[in-house]
Amino acid sequence: MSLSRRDFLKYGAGVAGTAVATQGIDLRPVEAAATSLRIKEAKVYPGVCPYCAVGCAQLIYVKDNRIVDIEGDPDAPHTEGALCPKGSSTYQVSMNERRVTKALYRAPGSDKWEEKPLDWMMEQIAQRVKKTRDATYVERVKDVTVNRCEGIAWLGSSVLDNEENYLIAKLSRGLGLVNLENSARLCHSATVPALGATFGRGAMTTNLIDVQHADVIMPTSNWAECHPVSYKWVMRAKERGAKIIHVDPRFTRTSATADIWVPIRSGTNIVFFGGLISYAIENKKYFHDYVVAYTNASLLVDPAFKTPTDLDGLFSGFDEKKRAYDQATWKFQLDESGYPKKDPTLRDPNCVFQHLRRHYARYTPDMVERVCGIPKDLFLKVADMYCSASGPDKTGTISYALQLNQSTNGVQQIRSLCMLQLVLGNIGRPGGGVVALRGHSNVQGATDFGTLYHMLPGYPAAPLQAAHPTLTDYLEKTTPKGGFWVNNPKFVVSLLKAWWGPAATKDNDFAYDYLPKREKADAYSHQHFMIGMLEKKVKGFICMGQNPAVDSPNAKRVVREGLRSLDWMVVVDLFETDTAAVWKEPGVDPKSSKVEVFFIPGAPAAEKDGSITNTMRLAQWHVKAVDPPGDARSDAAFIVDVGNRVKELYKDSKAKRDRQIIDLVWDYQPQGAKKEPKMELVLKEINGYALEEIKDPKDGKVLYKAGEHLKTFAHLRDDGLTACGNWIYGGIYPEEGKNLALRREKPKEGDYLAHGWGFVWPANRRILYNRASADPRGRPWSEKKKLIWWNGKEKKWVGLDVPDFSPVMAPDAPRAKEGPLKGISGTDAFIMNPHGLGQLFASVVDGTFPEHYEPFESPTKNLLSKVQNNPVAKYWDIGDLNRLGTPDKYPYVLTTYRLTEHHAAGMSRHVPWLSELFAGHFAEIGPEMAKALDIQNGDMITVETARAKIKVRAMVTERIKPFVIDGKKVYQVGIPWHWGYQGTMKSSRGDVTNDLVASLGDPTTFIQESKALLCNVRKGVA
Amino acid sequence: MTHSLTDWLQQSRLTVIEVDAARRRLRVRGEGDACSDLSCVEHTLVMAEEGSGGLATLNPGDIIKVERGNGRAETIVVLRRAWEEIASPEV
Repeated sequence: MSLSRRDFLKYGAGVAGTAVATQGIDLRPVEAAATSLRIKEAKVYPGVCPYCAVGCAQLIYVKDNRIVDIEGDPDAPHTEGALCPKGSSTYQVSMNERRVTKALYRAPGSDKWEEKPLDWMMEQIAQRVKKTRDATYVERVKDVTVNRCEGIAWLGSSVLDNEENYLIAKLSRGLGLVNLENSARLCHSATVPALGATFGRGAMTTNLIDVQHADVIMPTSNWAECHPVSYKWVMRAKERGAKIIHVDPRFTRTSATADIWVPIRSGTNIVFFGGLISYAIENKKYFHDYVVAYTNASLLVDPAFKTPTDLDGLFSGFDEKKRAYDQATWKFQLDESGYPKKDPTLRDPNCVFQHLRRHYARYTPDMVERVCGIPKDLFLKVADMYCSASGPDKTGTISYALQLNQSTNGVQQIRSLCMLQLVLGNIGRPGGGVVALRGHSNVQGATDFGTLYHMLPGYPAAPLQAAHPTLTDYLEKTTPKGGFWVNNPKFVVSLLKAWWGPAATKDNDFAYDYLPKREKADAYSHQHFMIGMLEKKVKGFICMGQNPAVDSPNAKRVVREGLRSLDWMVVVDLFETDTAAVWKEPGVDPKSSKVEVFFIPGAPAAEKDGSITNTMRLAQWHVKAVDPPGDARSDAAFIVDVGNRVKELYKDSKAKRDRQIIDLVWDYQPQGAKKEPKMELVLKEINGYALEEIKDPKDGKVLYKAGEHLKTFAHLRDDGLTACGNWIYGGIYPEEGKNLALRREKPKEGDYLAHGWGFVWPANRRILYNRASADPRGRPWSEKKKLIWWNGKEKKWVGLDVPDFSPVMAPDAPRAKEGPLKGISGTDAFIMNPHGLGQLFASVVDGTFPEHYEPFESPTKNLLSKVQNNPVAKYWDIGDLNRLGTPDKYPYVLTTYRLTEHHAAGMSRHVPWLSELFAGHFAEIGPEMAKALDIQNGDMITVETARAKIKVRAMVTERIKPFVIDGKKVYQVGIPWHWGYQGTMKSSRGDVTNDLVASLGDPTTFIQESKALLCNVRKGVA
Repeated sequence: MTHSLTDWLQQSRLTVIEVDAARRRLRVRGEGDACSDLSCVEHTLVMAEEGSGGLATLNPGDIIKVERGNGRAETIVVLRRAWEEIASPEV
């Protein structure tokens, strides 16, 4: 028998089906062919890379309960076996002498860790949780039951599995916690409302594999270095003739592959995209038929509505005192049947299209040059190239990441590119779409599962005390009148049944009172509760797989001081992170901090079962390949254990408020010495199951027996007969033994979207809004760009993807007057929106259209209006801790970024193979600026903002160029942000870049402004 | 016939189409897209999150429910403002 290495790998992956994979695969039959390989006699398990959200599928080779190798899975359709440097070093995440394998305790004021028995630690943690909950609990406010605890914060994790995030969401709400977040808040929180307001769902619209079909691709992040494996699809498109336009303040490896590099000043993306929208409209480059059929361009707006064009930077309704908008004019004119009036000619001066046209008429090529620093000729070249990718035969893709997110205009910066894509007809079509590149492996999943203060799993809102005192109030106010969200009661009631089971009855509104009620919208976000720690309102903190001491804005003055001010803190992680070691940070006297710290060793993906959802909504299950070392165990085991212990502490309580935790359904059958829960039980709860026998009301046939898995979210009920932890994942586990996240089927011929690999929510639809890939009559816009189409004979939608639409709703079907798609007609491609249309005009707290405002620290006046900054953005007034800089003292624009070889949280700096790739922390500056400051390449320099200063080495490079802003030269500085005081070697330790960042927030999501700051730079570190 | 919670929610809420405050009349859309006119009494109260007021505080497109007395609309509760219908359906 002769096998090539490739055949050998294929064999291993090809048999990695459900049953076999959980047992491991015996490779002895191919031993003869494998004698030269390290993986001889190894068993292979399906894994998923734990770093970024490309979600590279891996094969984990194990011998004698030791990982011997981790490689990319060559059959993975989206990665084709590739791994980047981080993925290639995953072996060292598990096999690493720096792994903490014992539970560690740091007593208040102590200068050392002590090893303690895990059981003792867990009991202490449970007692701290109970004590703080009891001391800070608020049961009622006036006559409203609020059942909330503000004294504990829980930072879940965008690097933990879906099931673990679900357990965190469930247990923390079951304890009444409102301070609940994960790292998505700081990286991609602006994505959800931006994409949600425009398209209806807050997730990437397309699929990485499909990028190859684009005619033009416009990355606005450093895609090639930050999400390297997925960049193959950009290069594949280029090989097919596509053009690449890279828009970035810095010249990077992405720029090096591009046809055009567009240098843009950080924080000015709305001007750039607004300029493109204007160019498309004025030069008639927009996709007219698509815009009329599938967007709200033709709808007529209230005549009293005014834009910043009319009001010098403000929309109608601004209240200076409240610094908020009264949105009373942000609405449509209605016809006699109560639906928005339309002008399909798009000529009415009050139609959305004409408002859009007028609004962006100010965003001229000259204005783009003056504000963004992009030369006019270059802008016009780019505008022609990108806007030409429109119409029946062409499509363009835009990607983005944190340069747009991390801003006081974050939501609107992203929305501006979404609107451009609608105008050009690029959504729901092959080669089109918005590619939201998530940084952590499971940012998408952690967001979907609601480890965020403002939402529950599957995106229903976390209730507010004043607006939502009862379940009826909540559903009446959060459920729209049209679109698929009319099914909200089914999602919410099924969630309440999953959480509180038999205690959730019709008579008690399905235990709705148990859900903690937020006091107000402006509270409980990551930045809010870090300041809450400083103010000693938050006393206890559970931190899992995140490293806020380094990753958070204003990290020195707010975050690390806040952490040291806590009564107690639990850190669950693989390594001793900067957060865990905050009490012994260099320069800090341990005695000065009274925080009691519990360190619990965790397990990476290779050592546990669970699923991770990558950036394109693809959930992939990884199988436990080895046992975690020592006391280490899965994060799920920790969460379930804490839950069981806290429930035990409360079991005899007679207090009404404690029913919240006592009644929480919490039986995940912990197994073995380490009490590892059965993760497929968690997945079943997430998927949904019948609580009682369910019959078809039409014919009385039994649809489900009690306990059976639901096959689809379409079968959810609002009468208490179904339980479902997260409706959007409905169908991921449709029957016992059929975990679709674990599927690793090679694509069938013609199935380029690989529907047999993993599970993509919702309902395995790979490209969202794909009804728009066909014209209003249901025919593909063109043969070249076909995806799904209406088959008149069979009376159903057919094609290359699962329809994101009713599969049997004909193109000429009138608007549904009732049912699950109420308000949707046969041409309404955006089914989640109440009017079924892509929303060029939408209600976002800072405006209906994105309007440019300068970053809070800016080298220039706003050239578009008299309004300098986003008038409704959040500034935390905490005195000297949050001072803002001005250009006279801080003349340079500072932007932050990340590198291929390092990552966030606490992993890469503990991995020697990665850490040795850099000599240390550095800042990039251009030669002209360096010369002016007498700085040589390699010199140590000080970079200072109004909050802090850091010491780094200068990297003088032509990649960093100055901008000419309104005729004045402005220099920029670029600094990666990975470093901290913990790390495996000297080169992986350094000052914390996020110390430089201010406490500011986008008004919708409170994401910080990390990409556009002002700084000063000087030679030396004295 | 027992309605599901989802059906009840769609049927119990009305969409304001037109407000004639002077004549104390409201045109609304309800179940099955049927439109009807509501006549309001002089002291009809409109209750919203930002406070209470008269019919003039209503907008076409608002989602309301009506709490009746003596066959005429007495209290109108604003559940969702017109502009909330074009906000992100995912929070």
